[in-house]
Amino acid sequence: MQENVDNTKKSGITRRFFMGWGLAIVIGMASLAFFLLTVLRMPFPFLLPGKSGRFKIGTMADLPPGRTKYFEDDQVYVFSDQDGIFAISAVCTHLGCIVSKDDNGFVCPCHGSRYNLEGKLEKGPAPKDLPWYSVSRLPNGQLIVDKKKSVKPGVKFI
Amino acid sequence: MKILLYISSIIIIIFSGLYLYQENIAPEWRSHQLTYIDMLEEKSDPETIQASYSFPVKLRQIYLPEMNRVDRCVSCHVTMEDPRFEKEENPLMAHPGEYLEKHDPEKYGCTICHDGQGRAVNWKDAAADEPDVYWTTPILRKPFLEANCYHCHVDLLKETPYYSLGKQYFETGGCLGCHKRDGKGGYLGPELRGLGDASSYIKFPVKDFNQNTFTQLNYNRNLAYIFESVRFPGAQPEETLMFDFKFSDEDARAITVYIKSLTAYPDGTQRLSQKPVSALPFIKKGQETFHLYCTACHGKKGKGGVKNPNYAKDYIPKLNTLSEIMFLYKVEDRNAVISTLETFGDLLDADPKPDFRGFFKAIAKYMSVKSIILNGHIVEKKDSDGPTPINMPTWEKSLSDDEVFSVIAYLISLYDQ
Amino acid sequence: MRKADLEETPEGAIKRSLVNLARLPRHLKSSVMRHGAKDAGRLKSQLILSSIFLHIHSIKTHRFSLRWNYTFGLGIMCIGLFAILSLSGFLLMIYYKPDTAQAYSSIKDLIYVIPSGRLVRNIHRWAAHLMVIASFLHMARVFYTGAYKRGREFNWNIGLALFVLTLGLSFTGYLLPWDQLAYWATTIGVNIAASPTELTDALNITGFFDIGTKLKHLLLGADQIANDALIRFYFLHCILLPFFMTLFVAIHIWRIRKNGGLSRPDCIDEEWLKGTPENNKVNNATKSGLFQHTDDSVKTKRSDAENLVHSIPHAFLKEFVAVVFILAITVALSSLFDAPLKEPANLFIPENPAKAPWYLVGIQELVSYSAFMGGIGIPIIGLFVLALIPYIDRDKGAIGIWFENKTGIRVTKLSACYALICCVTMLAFTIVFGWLRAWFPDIPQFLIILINPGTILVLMFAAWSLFVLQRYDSIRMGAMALFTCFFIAVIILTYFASVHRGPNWDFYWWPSLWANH
Repeated sequence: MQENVDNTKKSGITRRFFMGWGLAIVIGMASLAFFLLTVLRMPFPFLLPGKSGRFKIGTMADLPPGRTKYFEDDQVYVFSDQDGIFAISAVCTHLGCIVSKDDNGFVCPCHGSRYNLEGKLEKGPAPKDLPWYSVSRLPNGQLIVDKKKSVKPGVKFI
Repeated sequence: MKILLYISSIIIIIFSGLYLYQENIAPEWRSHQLTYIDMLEEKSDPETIQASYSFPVKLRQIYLPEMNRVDRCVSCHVTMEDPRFEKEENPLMAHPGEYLEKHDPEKYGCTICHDGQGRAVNWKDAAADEPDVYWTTPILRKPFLEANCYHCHVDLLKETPYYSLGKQYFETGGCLGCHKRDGKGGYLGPELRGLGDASSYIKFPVKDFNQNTFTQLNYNRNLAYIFESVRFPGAQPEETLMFDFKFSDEDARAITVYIKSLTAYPDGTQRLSQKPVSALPFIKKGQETFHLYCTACHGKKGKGGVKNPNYAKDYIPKLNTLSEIMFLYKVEDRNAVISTLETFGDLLDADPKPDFRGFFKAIAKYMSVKSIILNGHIVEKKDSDGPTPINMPTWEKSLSDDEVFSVIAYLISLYDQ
Repeated sequence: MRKADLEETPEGAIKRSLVNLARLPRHLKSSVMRHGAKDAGRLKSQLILSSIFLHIHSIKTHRFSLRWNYTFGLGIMCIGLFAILSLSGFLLMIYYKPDTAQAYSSIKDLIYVIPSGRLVRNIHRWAAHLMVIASFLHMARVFYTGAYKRGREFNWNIGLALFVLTLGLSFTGYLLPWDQLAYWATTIGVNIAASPTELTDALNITGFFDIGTKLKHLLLGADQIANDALIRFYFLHCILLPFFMTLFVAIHIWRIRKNGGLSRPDCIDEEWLKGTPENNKVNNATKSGLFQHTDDSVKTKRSDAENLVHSIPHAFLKEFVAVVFILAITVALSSLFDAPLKEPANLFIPENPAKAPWYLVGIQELVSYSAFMGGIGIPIIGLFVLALIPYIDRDKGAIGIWFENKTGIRVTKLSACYALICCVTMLAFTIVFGWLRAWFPDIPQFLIILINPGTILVLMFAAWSLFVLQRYDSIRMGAMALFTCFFIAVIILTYFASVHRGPNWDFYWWPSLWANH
């Protein structure tokens, strides 16, 4: 089999043909591509079903210092102390079990990971600390926790 | 051919581009959210200016799978819970009243109270109340909005004056003499349970029965149908047994609100009732039953005066003279019969029998009255070829014995009044 | 590129793997294309010879086949529409939930918040409509150019099957949105399928041979259209029918290729080739066989070899234009007119008028005379006759020419007028005077099945066809007369039933006169 890459051997008719049609074909292809781009957006939804990750935890008055609340639906512990209010995830960073709280901190029932009261990892197979979620105040005084936004451990809402 | 290819390609690009523009740049919610960001900056509170930077322009929704609802109203009404926007125009207005404090929108959504089409993201489709398009649940405005409170609440709320008035009319007007509510009541008219769920297409009012009224009801065909049936029973269908009660527009509206609340679907929520239902005194119970089932035909307090079309005697009999018919002229006799009814139920079961002279005469009449209530009565026609007059329905299946005895007792007690 | 395999390979397995990894792009290309760069003529030939997708064409195409007003590109438009429908269908399937509780709201979501959801749904709807029209016209084109002859008889029948599949796909897709329109149109369609009960009732054998109800249960899995029916229609629409569609399309195209490309006349008039791409290369070589096509320099044995042009680019380009054109029409229609979505299906409140999808309303009109005859009898007779035509009409007439000759044109015109008059008269008569049941209320149903406007029209057409057969002493003319009658009747009945039938299937001059419901 011969290797021949000499394009000049193309017949004249073909070249003339493509000179005339070249632009049309390019535009035609471009329109198809544009159309495909338009419709292939479809698998990427604007809105995801499911919880928004934001939930109300009450007003400042509901959370005096020293108070601890567990929000079962969203699996978040909310603490209030002298420095402010903070929210810690109750989902173990190891394999997603729900940790339980005791006087010394959190303990995971699945593989025994232990975290202290600030969510810092103390022992066990879990790779990292429990994340802290952002707490903020709505204009009407309601406090909300946003699970989509993590904050550095130690950042408390005053 | 080349030209055709050029034209076709350009058409594809233009129309795809147009669609992308409509979907991503032109939508209403986008401009509302942009306005919101501008307004936030105007409000010049350092903390909120920060908030405006972190406010992404995007579609928003409240997702309530357990109620099969998705409410995207929050895509435009972003300031719903922001008291600083109290005085702004809709859609950027704070929700009036204190409703949202008890009804967290994240848990209940919007359409559970307001109806409308929660999935839509433009006002026209979300309101779903255009005159000539048939929408399932057009948005409810005041005062009809009150009806939706009672999909969950059972006890009367002070915020719903129309509903309370409508309910009062309903429960003293004898509507259940012909209609059923929650499966209980007469059978001459249609069942009312679920009438308020009727999406607009199920029942149609005569479209141009009163264009003005139709406009006042926000083109909501369901409301218009209910309103029309209450206000002008003969409008559709023309041959109806229902009397024209000559309600004023305002009263008819109140009754419409009440009937609109009669839902067959509890919306996935539980009924909330605080007050325990207390047992009523015997006569009072009879009165209530009479109000629920009988007043429409036999008149308030059994005074009669209601015309029965094509009935040989013209008027439906009055019942406040039952004591006389039963020969119970004396107070003691009446009280004796009433207390026998209360204690033993049927007079025939009374043991010992009341000790007065006319008792056996009374019992004969009592038997015939009871039989008419339980088994109904087919009345004589005036013109034998004419339409059928309203016959006394049978109540054997719908009323308990206790209710029947209490009604008889109530009718006997009407003698003085 | 075979050389590439023979290139020096270093010692050591690891080195060899690394070298092979480096050569991956080249090997990948050669494994797909099976050859490297070539001189132009051979490249074009090899491209086609070695690609399963391009092989649907022969290496060279006859210039006559490229005449736009011979085929109007209808066949390739059908393929294009099928591709558009498949693509949009895949995308819709991502979000659609075939469950009566969720189907309707998933369509609402498509309309309101899914990126491009409304557009894709509209495209799916419009492309389906266009495909019904295009395949119908394609069938007419094939018929009027006599392209069902000489070995193409079987392919004509495959085409017929494809037409029925197209209708089936459109119909099964109709139920999926679960709105009032869908529900009641499907109810009508399913009851048409159940109409043999009318015949078995008339013959008094329903008791032990209830084929109508069996058919209905097969479609619905229940007595009523409900969740089971939705799943069955979903399965039919998304899996079973598309599978057969793809299979039959493959056979259809393969047969065209095996039958020597599109049909064309034996002697080609220079006039007909005007406007088609020219090939002014003089062929002077003498090779024959497979290689006759591979190079411009090879002369072929065929007498009109100078009228063959390379399929690349000429044929593919025309097809590209046709596909882009039909896509443009679909996209434009989809942007301008939204697919309808009415209220959610309500099992208790029928639409009035409850009409079948538009491509079945013609049949619905016939069904209004007799459910069995209109819904099953006449369509089956029609399909049967269409299937038989190529086997009966074996005259050695000219093929590849529209209407064959001047007589053909005259016969077609006359038949069209005849069919028009027959249909309009029959419809007018039925509307004004009613039918047998109106005159003899006790008439047995069996007689109505046999004698109704539909069967009378069929008889009139058959008589006309026999007359033409006799008059011109040509089977082709008789077939042409019959097909024209069928073609016109379908159009008139469809038009009439869509526009002039209103609530309760009464006659109305215009839909705006329907009483407002």
